[in-house]
Amino acid sequence: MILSSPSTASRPASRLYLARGAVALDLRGVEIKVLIGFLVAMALLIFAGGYTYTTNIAFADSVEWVAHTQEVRVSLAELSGSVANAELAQRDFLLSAEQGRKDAFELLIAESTKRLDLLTNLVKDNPSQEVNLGVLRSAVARRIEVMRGAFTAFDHFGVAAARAVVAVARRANGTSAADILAQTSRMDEVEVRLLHERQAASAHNRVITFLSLVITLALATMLFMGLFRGIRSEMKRREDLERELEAKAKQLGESNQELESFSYSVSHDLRAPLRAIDGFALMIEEDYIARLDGEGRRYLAVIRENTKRMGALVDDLLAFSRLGRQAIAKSAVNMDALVREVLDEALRDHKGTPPLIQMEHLPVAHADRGLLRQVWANLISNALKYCSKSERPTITLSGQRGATECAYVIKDNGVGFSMDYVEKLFGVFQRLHRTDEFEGTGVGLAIVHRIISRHGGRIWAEGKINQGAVFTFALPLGENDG
Amino acid sequence: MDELAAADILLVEDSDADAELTIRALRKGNLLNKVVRVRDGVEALEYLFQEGEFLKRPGGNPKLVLLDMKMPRLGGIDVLRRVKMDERTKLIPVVVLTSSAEDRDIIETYQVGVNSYLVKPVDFAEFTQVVAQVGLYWAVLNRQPP
Repeated sequence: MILSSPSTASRPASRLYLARGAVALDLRGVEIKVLIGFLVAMALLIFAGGYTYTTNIAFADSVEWVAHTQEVRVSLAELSGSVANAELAQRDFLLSAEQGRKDAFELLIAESTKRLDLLTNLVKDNPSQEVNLGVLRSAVARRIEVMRGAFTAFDHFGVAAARAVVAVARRANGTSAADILAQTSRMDEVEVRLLHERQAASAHNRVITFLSLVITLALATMLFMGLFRGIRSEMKRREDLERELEAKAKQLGESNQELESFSYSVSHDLRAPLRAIDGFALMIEEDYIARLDGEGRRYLAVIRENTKRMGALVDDLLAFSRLGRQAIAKSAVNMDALVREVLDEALRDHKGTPPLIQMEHLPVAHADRGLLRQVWANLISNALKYCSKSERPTITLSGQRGATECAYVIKDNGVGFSMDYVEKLFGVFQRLHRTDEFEGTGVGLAIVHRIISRHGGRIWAEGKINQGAVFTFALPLGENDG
Repeated sequence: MDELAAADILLVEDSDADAELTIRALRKGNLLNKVVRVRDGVEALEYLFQEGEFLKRPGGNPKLVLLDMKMPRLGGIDVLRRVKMDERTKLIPVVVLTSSAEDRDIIETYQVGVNSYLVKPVDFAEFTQVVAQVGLYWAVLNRQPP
């Protein structure tokens, strides 16, 4: 019962640990999913933003286009206006011969030329309008030429000649103010058509932009909602798991409590009667020894001997069961100092031939000092005990630091053991020697084994009958040692 | 022994065998002081506060209380708490003498104000030695506040 209870206490603990490990693993999976979801949603949003930006720019472009078209149209209207006014000025001049009208004519001609240059610039991007503008330009040039011809005729031959030039020119190539007007209005129509086309295209674009924005945003929203729901269900799952763990921990705490009160009872109630047996046996020995013969005295001695043994067993078992519950407080342990301390104590109480002790430097351990002290005390007292019958008892202690663990070795030249029984060595109450050969309860090595495994280390033994035993234990390096 | 004087040592112990062993150990240590033994926590408090069965006992506090932990009715820790909280009794040295070597008990009793905590050894020779030393130290050598 005592033996099984500590191990049942440690089993739920390891399950708790495993459950915690599973949570950590799940976390990673869920995190990757959430991360991917967020990245996709972010990409969608960035896409939507970029799309909005480019359509905004396209919209600004189309506004510019409208302004451009208007500019072309205004320039065309002004050009045809200037040419028409120039013609009017010429006609006025021919009627009145006022020099002011001629100046006005020249001004309007200059204005027309300027307009033509401006238009050339404006329609540079449109080849068909460029061609149209070429036609317009030559029409205007011809018209100007005719008008200038009329002025020349007037200067030399008078008003009749000038009128004749105008009339001839009208008949000859048909270039009139009306033709120029027709050409400008043709160009104007082209511009208007272009404007309509561009407006239609941008309206189409607007619809597409709107639709794709709505779809993208809807997708991102759905994705975020999905993520939110996923995270929420994950949180709920974890909360459930946590509750479960709490319940388990509570259960564990309760069973630990039970175990504690159990060992408390054992400690108190098993020892009290033993003390009475021993005490009263001693009282017989002290008060009635004279009335007992040799056999009676021997019986008494056997009673007392066994009472003591039972006491030692109870104590060792309690120590063993306490180990399962005791918290481990790890720190850097100076093994040289600790072993010397334990050796001094052990040798002080040692009866018989003092052994030869050979001790090498031992690496620092990362462990619970109090528990390690117990390990060394048990191993050293074992070594002392089993080599006490050797001719020249020798105990060798050594240690070595490896890549992941520190190993410590204690070797004696005592009675040793057969490797057939090596499995039994670390079991509770397992003994390879009779009590009349060597004293002991069979708990010492079980305690050592439990302490080492609670530190995450390992222990093993090698032996040969009458040739000594070697015990090696290895402890994992601490975080700071790496 | 003077029946009219208060006890020098109050032994609180439920086990007859342990009580007998303890008294024998005290005698073997040459402590001839008057020892009164009570069987549980309730009786112990009645004795200390002069109530119930001990209403008419001679006045005065014992020089030492030897207290067992695990007893029927009222346990040692509760007796200790009451004794250490009461102005009349809080200066009496209380030594816990118990079978329990549990850390939990040791810590708890020290927190309540025990003067000493001793684990009864199974070996009677050792037990005798421990009890004799305790009796000698607390009931004879130790100077108590007036």
